[in-house]
Amino acid sequence: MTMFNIDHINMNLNGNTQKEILSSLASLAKSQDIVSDEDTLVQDYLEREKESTTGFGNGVAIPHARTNNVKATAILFGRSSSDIEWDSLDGKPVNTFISLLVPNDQGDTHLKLLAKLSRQLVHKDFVSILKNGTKEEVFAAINNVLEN
Amino acid sequence: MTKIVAVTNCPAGIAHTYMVAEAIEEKAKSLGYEVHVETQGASGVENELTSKQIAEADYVILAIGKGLTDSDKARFDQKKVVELPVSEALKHIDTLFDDLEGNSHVMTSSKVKLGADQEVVTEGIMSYLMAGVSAALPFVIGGGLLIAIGSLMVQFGMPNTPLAKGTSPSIAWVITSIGNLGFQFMIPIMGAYIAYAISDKPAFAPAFLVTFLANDSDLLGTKSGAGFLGAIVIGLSIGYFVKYFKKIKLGKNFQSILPFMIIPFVTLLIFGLLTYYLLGPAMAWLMSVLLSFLQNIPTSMKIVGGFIVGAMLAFDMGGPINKTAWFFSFSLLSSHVFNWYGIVGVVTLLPPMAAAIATWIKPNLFTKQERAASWSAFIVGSTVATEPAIPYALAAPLPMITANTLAGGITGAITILLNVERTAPGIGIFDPLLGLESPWYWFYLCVAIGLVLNVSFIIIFKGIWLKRKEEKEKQAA
Repeated sequence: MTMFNIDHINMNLNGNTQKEILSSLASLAKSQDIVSDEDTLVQDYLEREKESTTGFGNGVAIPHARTNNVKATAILFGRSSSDIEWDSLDGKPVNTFISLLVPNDQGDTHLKLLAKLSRQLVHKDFVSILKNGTKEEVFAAINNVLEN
Repeated sequence: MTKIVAVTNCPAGIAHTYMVAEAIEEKAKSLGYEVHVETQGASGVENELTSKQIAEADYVILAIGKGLTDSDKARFDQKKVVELPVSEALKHIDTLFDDLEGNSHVMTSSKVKLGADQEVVTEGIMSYLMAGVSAALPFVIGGGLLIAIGSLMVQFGMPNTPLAKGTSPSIAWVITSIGNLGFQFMIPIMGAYIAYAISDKPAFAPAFLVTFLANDSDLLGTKSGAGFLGAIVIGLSIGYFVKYFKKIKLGKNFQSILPFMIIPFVTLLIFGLLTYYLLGPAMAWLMSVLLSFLQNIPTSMKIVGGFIVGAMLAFDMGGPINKTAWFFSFSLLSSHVFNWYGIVGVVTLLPPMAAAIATWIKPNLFTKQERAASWSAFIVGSTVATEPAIPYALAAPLPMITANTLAGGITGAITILLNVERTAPGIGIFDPLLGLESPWYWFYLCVAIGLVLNVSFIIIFKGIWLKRKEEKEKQAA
């Protein structure tokens, strides 16, 4: 199983609130057999958000979780049709989501890839593809980061 | 050229650590600054700052989401430091660089400066022990309260049926057994976190496993585990061993597997065997020497004997010294000699209760976490176990062990002088009510005297100790 494939993308996430979006992401994770339990992931997401928001501005959020509920490291991508209030750093609502899921005992290689991806998130051109690109463009952009 | 070093970390260690690191690097480079960013993420420390880089830096940026260890902070002593929460860093990154001078403050970690390759000095050891303390406290609190509930259930007449073929265990037994896990794992967790504080993840697993081995009398074939003093010795030795081990250069192919394969494997093998073939037999030998010493105390010297047994009981709380004194007293029960076991009934209550009371009288001698744990230490300590005193002793071994041992010794002497007798283990402070310890009035008098002594000693000794430590740090700074 790869960390990121085209089925990990949902360009039309259901939901109008943070919790509904996180539930949709969790059900996507469950359908791809990335986590053992869907509800636990929602709880883990919410707890992480409680610690500090993952909405880092510009309409993008990176809900993430590192727990043993996660079976294998994976990246999920989603967009919502409506703007979601996320308590973001810049105060603006969010419609683009990139979710990182990591098991507790993850080895180095995958963590390094996620680190690379995270680093890209502060670059405007990368974020602009995430926000405006087609499904294929987003897939290509993320894979490009992971493979180079 | 302005030079900047930075450290980033965050709770999960997978996203913000790196986003913020990248943002700092980008911003600093765009301004033409020289920049080095150390990331402390889920895969460990990367791009670790060298002492040269730190020394040359004009400013240090700490974008932190899970705190820094004291030894980590000590690296930046006397530097101009800008601190901000990692979660906010992306928001403030632009304004941050507008006025680094105005946003920074001079770091005074009050720790000794760590020069180029100068090793961590003695002050550092306390911060390693504290890492063990804060990891162990939840174990002793959670486990202790469960044991207390289980014991109370049994004392109030509920069955205490262990797991066996054909019968299902009683709820009281199950609760006590789960609680016992807390006490059992508290010791290896201490060893593991002490080592972890010194040399990070590679030291954790070997220190955990070796301390577990050293504390497991069944595995070692001894009558007692090494207790918390064993955890200190093993945690520190493995911590420093791994610290130097990490510096070995193995060439490109093997370097990447050094921290998570070679170091844990080799360290576990070496220290595991050392513990099994040296520490185990050494403890067994020590215990047999102490036991025959106790058995040879002439009956005319009862008071001296009472002092020694009391002091030994309070000394290492579950370690070999304590176990020898307990074993000596307990084995006399079969010959219907109950007064030595009376000492056990009194003295083992003292360290945890006294530590708890001391935090109430002199809160400023203790950390927030130690104060928060005091109620649990008091309840569990007064009913079922001495273990809750261990984290307090670990946090300040010299004054706490001295106070406990001295108070235990004097109380032991008084207890045997007043001929307090105990016939069986019960629920601590309530033993006389169950008819297990008598006469009740002398029992409570002994406990009261013991507590007054023990609390006073703790306050005096720890007060002096903290003052000395402060002065030393001042001189060194």
